[in-house]
Amino acid sequence: MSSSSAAAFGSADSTAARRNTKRPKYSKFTQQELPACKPILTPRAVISVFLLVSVVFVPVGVASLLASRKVVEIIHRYDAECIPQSNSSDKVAYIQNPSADKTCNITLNVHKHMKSPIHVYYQLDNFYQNHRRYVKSRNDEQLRDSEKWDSTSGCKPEDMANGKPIVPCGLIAWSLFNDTYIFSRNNKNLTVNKKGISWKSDRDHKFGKDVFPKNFQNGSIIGGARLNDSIPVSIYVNNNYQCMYEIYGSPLFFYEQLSQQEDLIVWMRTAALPTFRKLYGKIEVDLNEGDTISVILKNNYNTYSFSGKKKLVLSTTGWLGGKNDFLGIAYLTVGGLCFFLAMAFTIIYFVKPRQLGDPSYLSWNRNPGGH
Amino acid sequence: MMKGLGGIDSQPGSSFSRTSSKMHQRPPSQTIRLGRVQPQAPSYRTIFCNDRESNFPVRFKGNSISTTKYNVLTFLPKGLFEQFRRVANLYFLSISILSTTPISPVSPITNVLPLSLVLLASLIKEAWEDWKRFQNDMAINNKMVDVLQDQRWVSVPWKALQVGDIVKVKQDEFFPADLLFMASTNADGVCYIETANLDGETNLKIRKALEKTWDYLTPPKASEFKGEIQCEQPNNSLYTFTGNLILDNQTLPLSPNQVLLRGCSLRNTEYIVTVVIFTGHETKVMMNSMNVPSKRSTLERKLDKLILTLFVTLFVMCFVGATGSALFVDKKYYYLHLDSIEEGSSQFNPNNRFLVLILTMFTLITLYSSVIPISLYVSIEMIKFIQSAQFINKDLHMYHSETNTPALARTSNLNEELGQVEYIFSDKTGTLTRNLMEFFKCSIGGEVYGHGVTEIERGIAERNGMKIEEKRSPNAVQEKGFNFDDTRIMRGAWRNESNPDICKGFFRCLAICHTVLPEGEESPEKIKYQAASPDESALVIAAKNFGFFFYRRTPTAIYVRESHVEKIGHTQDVSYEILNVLEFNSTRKRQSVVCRYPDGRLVLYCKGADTVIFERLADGNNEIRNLTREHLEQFGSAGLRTLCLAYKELHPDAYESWNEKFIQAKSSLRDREKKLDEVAELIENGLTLIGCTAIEDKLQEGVPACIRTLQKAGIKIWVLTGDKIETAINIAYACNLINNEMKKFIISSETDAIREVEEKGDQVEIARFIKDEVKKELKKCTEEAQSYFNTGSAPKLALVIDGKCLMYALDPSLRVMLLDLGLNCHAVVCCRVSPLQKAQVTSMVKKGAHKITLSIGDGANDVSMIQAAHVGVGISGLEGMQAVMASDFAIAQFRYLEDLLLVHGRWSYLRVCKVVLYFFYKNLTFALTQFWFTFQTGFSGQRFYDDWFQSLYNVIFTAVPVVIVGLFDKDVSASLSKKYPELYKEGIKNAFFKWRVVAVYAFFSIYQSLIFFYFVGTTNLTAKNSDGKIFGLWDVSTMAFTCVVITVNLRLLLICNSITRWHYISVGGSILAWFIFVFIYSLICHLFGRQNVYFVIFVLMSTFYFYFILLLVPVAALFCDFVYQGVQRWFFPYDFQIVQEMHKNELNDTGRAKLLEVENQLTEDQARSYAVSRLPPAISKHTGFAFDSPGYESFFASQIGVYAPPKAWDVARRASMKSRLKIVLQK
Repeated sequence: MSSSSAAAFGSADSTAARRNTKRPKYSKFTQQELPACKPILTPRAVISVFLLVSVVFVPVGVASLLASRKVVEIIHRYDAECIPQSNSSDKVAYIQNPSADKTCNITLNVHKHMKSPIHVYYQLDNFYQNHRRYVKSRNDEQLRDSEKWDSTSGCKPEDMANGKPIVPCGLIAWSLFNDTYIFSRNNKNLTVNKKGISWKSDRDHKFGKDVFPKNFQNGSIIGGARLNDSIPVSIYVNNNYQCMYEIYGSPLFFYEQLSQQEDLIVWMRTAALPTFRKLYGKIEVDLNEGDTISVILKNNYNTYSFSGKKKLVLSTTGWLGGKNDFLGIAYLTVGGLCFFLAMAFTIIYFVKPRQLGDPSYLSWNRNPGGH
Repeated sequence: MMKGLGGIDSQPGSSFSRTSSKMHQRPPSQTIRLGRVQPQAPSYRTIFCNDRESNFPVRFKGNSISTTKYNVLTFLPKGLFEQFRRVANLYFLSISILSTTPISPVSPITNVLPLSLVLLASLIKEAWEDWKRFQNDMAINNKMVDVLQDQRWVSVPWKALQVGDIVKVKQDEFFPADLLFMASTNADGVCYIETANLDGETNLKIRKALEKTWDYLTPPKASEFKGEIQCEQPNNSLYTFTGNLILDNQTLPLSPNQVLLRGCSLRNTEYIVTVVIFTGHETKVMMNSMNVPSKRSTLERKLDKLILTLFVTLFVMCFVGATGSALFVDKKYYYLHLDSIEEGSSQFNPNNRFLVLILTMFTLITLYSSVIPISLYVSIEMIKFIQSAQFINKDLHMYHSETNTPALARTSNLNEELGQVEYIFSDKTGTLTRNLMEFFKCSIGGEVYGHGVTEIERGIAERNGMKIEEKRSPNAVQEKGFNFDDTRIMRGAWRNESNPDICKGFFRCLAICHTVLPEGEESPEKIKYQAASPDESALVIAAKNFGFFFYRRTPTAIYVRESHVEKIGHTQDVSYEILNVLEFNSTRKRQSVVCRYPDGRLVLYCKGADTVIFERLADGNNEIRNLTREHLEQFGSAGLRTLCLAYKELHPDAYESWNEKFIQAKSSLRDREKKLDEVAELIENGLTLIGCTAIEDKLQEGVPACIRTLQKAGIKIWVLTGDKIETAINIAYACNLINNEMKKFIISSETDAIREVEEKGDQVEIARFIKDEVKKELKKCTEEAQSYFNTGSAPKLALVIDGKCLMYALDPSLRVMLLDLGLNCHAVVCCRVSPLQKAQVTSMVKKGAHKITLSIGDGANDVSMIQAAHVGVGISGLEGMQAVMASDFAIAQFRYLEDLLLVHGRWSYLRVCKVVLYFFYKNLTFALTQFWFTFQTGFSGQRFYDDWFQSLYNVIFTAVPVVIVGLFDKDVSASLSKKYPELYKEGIKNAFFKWRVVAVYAFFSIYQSLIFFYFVGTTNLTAKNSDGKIFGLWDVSTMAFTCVVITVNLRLLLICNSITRWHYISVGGSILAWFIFVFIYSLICHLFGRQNVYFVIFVLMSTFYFYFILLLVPVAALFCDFVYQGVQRWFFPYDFQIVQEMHKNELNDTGRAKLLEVENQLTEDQARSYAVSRLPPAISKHTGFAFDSPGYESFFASQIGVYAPPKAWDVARRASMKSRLKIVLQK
């Protein structure tokens, strides 16, 4: 009896004590005992990681290098040779002279069979498409939305010509590349397909289907290409006929809508670095080894002011894109380095091993009593 | 009713009397009622008691308090202002403003978003803290108190209280305002108060009302009270009060003795009636509250330097870029139309290249702003807050179950500072030793009683290889304050000893000669003693256990229930009339009581320090004297605190003549204290020695082991104590601080040469002489220490110095030498030091040696030292809150320092270092990719990344994992941290946040950013899929950004020592968050009026190239780190890495099981101390018998009119309050 009452008393006491206690509750979080893995870079782990990386990277490197090697590429620089001898002393004057004949003939030799489609690029050098003043000199709303044709903010100084807003405005559009190439093989024309050279998302969403160039390249200085007006009209603007008539004066003649101006779309996807290529078109027939391609070239575009190079590039593509050894070399380098280090570490591991967790390595064991 | 009573018409008489009595001082009160409001004279305030209406025109402040920083209206402006006082926030504000101008390449969102998130987080924290303060205030303001209204007590909330109200305070209630004490239920108008909240002292103090007001106790009587109080204006001096009570045309002077301060509480008194004098913020305690200057950790100050370096880096980057821009601009780039620079954008005008340079500078600052890690401070704050609130406060290892006290981090600023402490300054009493005085041994008439063995003796024996078994008799008494066992004198057995009369005298002396107050029931089991020091109560408890039970005290008599005096088992109550009490003070070092036996005998009992008692002994009986001296030495070397007891029979005539002198001295107005001392000297001579007592000041649990561990961790421990040099050395030995292998330097003022000079009494000469001596000693010691170092085989050194020598050694001319010597010593013991000297020594090491210091103490006398050190630690759980209130961390036991420093401190340091360095790395890496891009854009400042990418980089994509590391990373487990205390040295050496480490991180930042930019940049030129289409700028940048996010997050895993689930979740989550974001954003970005990145990620993902880059770039970027880490670990391993390897196969901490184990296996000693701790607490103050303790205030001191000296901290506080006080007065 007495013992049971004592027990009852004890339990009452302990519950009361528990209620008043400030003892922190146990949790793995507060006691910092969360389960954790503790990776230790032991020599063995280091070596295996290196080996693993090299095992993955070397094959990938080889594969991408092979893919790159399969790509056939013809690069021809023509900015110098397309200046007539007589004008070589003042190239800028020549290129800026609107009446001068800019036609230039070059020939390209196909040194290896090229499977269609063959992509035609122009490559510019020292051209800062990524310059801050250049990049922002466009108006996305205007390009997308026909209602916003007069919004030219950000386009200065190419926002207005003759007091009217320019569509498409801005420096990028204004300086549209305007060299043209006509390819022929054995005097037979090679058709260059200029459709589908831009990213679909750009065509569909960034450049409106009902946005038309207005007042373009009508300013005092012409920076580059005019927009192509020879592409057949593919969209009729319903119920706007009257309006269009009033604006453009001619009911029969339409400027092409921007979403079809693929040269412009390509050009306006500004490049990241000052040396860049832009897709010009596609040749959809195979070129055989030994073929000679003659190119009739209109050398209109002025890169001479800033001594930029111009190159014409014909290239096939593989699954990894154009010819680019970088990726393969980088993979092989990293993989090779890893392999080399793995070997080196293994040798050290065997020749002069460090015993793991050897207490004699502890600083206080190395120089006992040291200060 | 109250209104009626106060009105002039109903009580014309009282009003008249008031007016007439005050006519000469201030305009009659009627003028006020007529509406001509007269401002009160600034030098005093007049309070009409129980008359709200008369007080109304003065508009005293209400009693509600508010400690909140903000209110609803001021929160935003004031809170924002506080935030912008931080340089980083201000910098980002200016960057944000700058980015709204056309000069900026980035849209404002880039900088505004992180800034506003940071501000939001800080403001929420502020608001939350303020809300808590507000709730706290509300709780206090709404406490209830009884106020006299309409002749009865009405319960009203505190905030409704007004100056002049009559208030009833019941037992154990707190005083709601500063009150004037009028009447008490106690017979002679006294009440007892506890001032723990004010000064941390838990001993009771007596307050006594003016005799005139004693009767106003009941409501009807109290409502008749119509006094007028003239008193000083509110001020912050806790121990002064001047004022008069004008009652019935009589002016009665008021003293602090009648004032009850807010924050104190009523004890031992049923209830009291009081008048409110100061309310709310005008109360003395509120005027004393000031913000403790917040300390910043050393690491944070170093961090500031790092940020400064980053600013310089930023400037250099901008300057390089701007110079490039100025050189680049040229009209030849016709496509940029630089010839027709439109208005407002002269940034690229080739004709003014200098302007280009300046403007581009600003452009680039906004572009590279992410170099400065804006969220760093917030993240660190958050991490440290959780560290302290969740980890330190809730650590079960630091929870003391006996006192039910968990550890408490009072600030979260200093967590990582705990990981770098090199010097610990420790108080002795209450910190190293238990705050537990136990009557342990005694020597009566030349015979030693008590079988106990102290821990010190045991320690010495253990070192000598002996083992001492302690025999305890089975029925030994167990009580707090009494740990004595000797059947020879217990239970009346003393009657059979050789000299029972001396025994009787000894016990009576213990029972009579003291200033202890009994409390509670008058039975030996239930009584509680209120004592000024635990020693005193230990002595009285000892008397009780010897059968001399002191159970009642009246102002004139002491009642003792004496057993076994006549014969065994017989009990009788005896009352001794107390004629005089001669108080302790630091010069007297003794205390005497003159009492009259019931039979009329007059006896003076005296107890005090051996030196003073021995001087005053009557000649004769040298045998006892010599034996006792021998015993004193024996006790002293065992670490016991000794007191000598003596008595003297007085002749009535001699006493009468002396008493006249005493009364004269007591009532003298000038030099009262000195005169009292002189008079006491006249009677305290020719004493007869009875014996001596020995009280054990027990060592705290686990102190020696803890000190050994801390010393192994490279921490040097200095003990600063007010004790005697011998006691201090003993304690130092006992707790392993000093051992026999050490070379000890002792610089003491107790040398014959110094004593000789001192006896001559020429102060100037003494000072000069001691200084010379100290200088000589210091020089000698320094040279000796140097020679030890030169020989190579240096023994460990220890320095012992006493307060007087320290005073001279701290002199600027000698300080360098002292510091030099001190820093070379493994242990330093300073004894007989004042609180000020404690602080001086601390700041000498802190400022002189630039070492990180920690002070630990438990008492009010440690406050200055605690505040002076980098980290202040208070011992909590026992009595007294003063040290805890001043501290940064509070722990219950000294031994918890081990956990606090070696575990929490070390981890915090490690984590904060990692967080800081990682922030540095990730922001620098990110900004550098921008920097490399700048070179490719004609230095135009074109941004590489989309605005949203950049702004969310710090906020979302890389924010969480680093916080997780700051919380969870641990290199080795807690138990290993303690097992290998040497690991702590890495923190002392600051091995993880050196410039070398920063440089390594910077190198990897540069390397990685180059990899990011140039590896991804190669994608620019050729087609990236079989369609032959080409990537544009935004494709490349998005790819680069993806690589940065992935790499930076993976890099985090590489620097982790332990990886929990949360690491995976946060790192994976961050990378996933980026992809989710970019998927959604690239679809809807045109809605924000920008279509740069429209569809970009989908374009990228449609190419194989993207995936190849995604594999290559992070691996190539991390390759270097990996090699570095592998090589470092292999060839130059850190200690913690070796320990990791040694224990890599062990499981995690056993956790809970181990904890429970610890708790269930109490040693016998622990069990006893636990049992004792469960006994009802006796309220006492621990400053002990060190008479010069600053907090000493006797119960009777005020009664006999002895001036209580102001406390050291009060003086300090007032000095710092001066400026504020002035402002208050000006108002």
